[in-house]
Amino acid sequence: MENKNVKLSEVLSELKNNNANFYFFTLDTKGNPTAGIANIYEHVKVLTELGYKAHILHEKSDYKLYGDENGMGVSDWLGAEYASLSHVSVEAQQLSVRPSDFIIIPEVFATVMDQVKTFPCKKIVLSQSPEYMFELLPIGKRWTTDYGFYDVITTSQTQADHIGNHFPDAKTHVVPVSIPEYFKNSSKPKIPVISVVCRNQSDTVKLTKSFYLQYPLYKWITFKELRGLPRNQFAEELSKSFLAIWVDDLAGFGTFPVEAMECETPIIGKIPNIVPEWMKITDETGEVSLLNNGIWTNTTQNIPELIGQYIKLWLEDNEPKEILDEMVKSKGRYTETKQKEKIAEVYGKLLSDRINEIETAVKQSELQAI
Amino acid sequence: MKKSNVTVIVPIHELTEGTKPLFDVAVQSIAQQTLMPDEVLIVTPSKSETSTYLKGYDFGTVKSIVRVVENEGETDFCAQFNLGVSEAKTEFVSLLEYDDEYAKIWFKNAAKYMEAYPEVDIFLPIIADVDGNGQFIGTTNEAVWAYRFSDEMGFLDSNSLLAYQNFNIDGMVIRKSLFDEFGGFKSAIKLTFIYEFLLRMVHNDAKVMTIPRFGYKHVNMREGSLFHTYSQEMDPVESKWWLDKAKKEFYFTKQRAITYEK
Repeated sequence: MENKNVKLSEVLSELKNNNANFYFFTLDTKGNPTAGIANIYEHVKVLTELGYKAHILHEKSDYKLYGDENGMGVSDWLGAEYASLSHVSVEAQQLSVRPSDFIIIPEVFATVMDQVKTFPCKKIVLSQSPEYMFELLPIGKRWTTDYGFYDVITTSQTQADHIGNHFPDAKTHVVPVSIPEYFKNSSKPKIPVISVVCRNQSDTVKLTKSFYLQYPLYKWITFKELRGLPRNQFAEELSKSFLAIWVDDLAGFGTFPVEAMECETPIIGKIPNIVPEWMKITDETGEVSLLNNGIWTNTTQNIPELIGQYIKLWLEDNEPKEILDEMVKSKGRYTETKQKEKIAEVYGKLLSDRINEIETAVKQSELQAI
Repeated sequence: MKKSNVTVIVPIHELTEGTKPLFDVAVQSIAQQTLMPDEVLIVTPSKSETSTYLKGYDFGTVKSIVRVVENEGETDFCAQFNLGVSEAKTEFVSLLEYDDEYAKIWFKNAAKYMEAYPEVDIFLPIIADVDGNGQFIGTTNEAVWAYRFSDEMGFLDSNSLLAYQNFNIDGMVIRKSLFDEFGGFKSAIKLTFIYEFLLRMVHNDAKVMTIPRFGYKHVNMREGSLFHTYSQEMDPVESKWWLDKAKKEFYFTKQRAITYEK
């Protein structure tokens, strides 16, 4: 018993001295930029800045930090400061989990949760897209009682509520995404280019073809798909565009429209399955309504028509004022500073909860010894 | 009141009973601008019925900025406009045909783009072309914004202009100094003098940009108009001849005597 208490006190000491490791299991996108992965990197970067030992954990060791002739690396699409963060891989046997450590697994990887359920560390789910919650989760299995993941970090209260409905015994923590400062309005007037981000590339093709068929008069208007661009360039293109289009039914937080609003580029978007928190407002009676910070529709069918109508208004300098005003009002809600404060608060809380957990275990051991 | 540093030039050869209502609309389109031009020069043949009519015309709210310039010399469209340019005192001038109209947002946008793109010498509007009954036909000048149309999106260059002639200078806001440096409109060139002028400008590295806004409404091929007359009088062979001529003449700053040879 004394031996066990000595070990627990070692764990306590590591936790209190900031020697705990935070391993973020991350999909290797092979240089393809995605907002979800960028957000994980942001957590690791901020935790590192806050003095924690945070690592990107890949399954394989062939992840690419710097670009080569075969494509981009993390440095190219996200920035050099992200490539220089600590990266470890399971394959390279760099993962040595101690009880003082934290492992953070994205919601989609239920199989990985199953594999690590016996690890002695603290286990946390990072859920950015609740639509993927059940992708690999066997029927009847729970993150909590089956795999030992009792804490879930997510990006909005809407998602936290959704998760709570399915895993009532899980504790949810909200860390909104942040929009980097380089998402800002262009210094030049907007140009007649439409920036498009659709989860399914086929939606982009369908929308574009449909639009040109319905509005041959506007065949000179260019659609630019931003998928795959380095994030800085992505922001630059978005800020130059006079309109943005977004179709992503599975969106969790819905980063792209918020980025567009920061660039003061009006957006036409399909309302996703889970209505993002920045898209709606709840009045004092509890009634929820959509904000006018974009042009929202519940079907992709009328998007070409909405684009056509918007172009006409834009060419006449007659864009709907209430949309532009509401869009500008929505700016500044998700800054890097706010996210950093939230990361410090949430991970600090997780750490103190873990300390309390261990201290309680120590006390119980001591009581049993008596 | 804030001014736009632009002089509007309206060349008028002759106002008829049929075109007077169109002229009223053209004047009204200046009056309704949210940012006013500094001056409006209406250039007309001296001692003509039209000049007499214009002297007694009620220009309403734009009266204080209108000046009627009586032309003692050649009174064709090109000569009238060139005279107007020489009389202008602002950095930029703009062309308004007396049977057309500006969109009310035009000078506000011209000022915005002049500030954002100080290197640009000529700003073209997107022109909405209508027929004699006011029915919409199509648009002009927007092609520069099409993907890979020109080297730089939004800007006209020699190669794209040589391959695609359908650009119009109606409503353009142009740096006056270009006329001193590279010459004005050439009246010796029939039908394609606009094309030749633009070719000459881009050949001399003038920066030409289309402001992506509807800035101008143009009555296309109005009966009695200059281009309607050309369309009636010229056969396709002659039209092609003038097109080829324009592609040769743009190297010359000053106009040369040209005679159509079959």
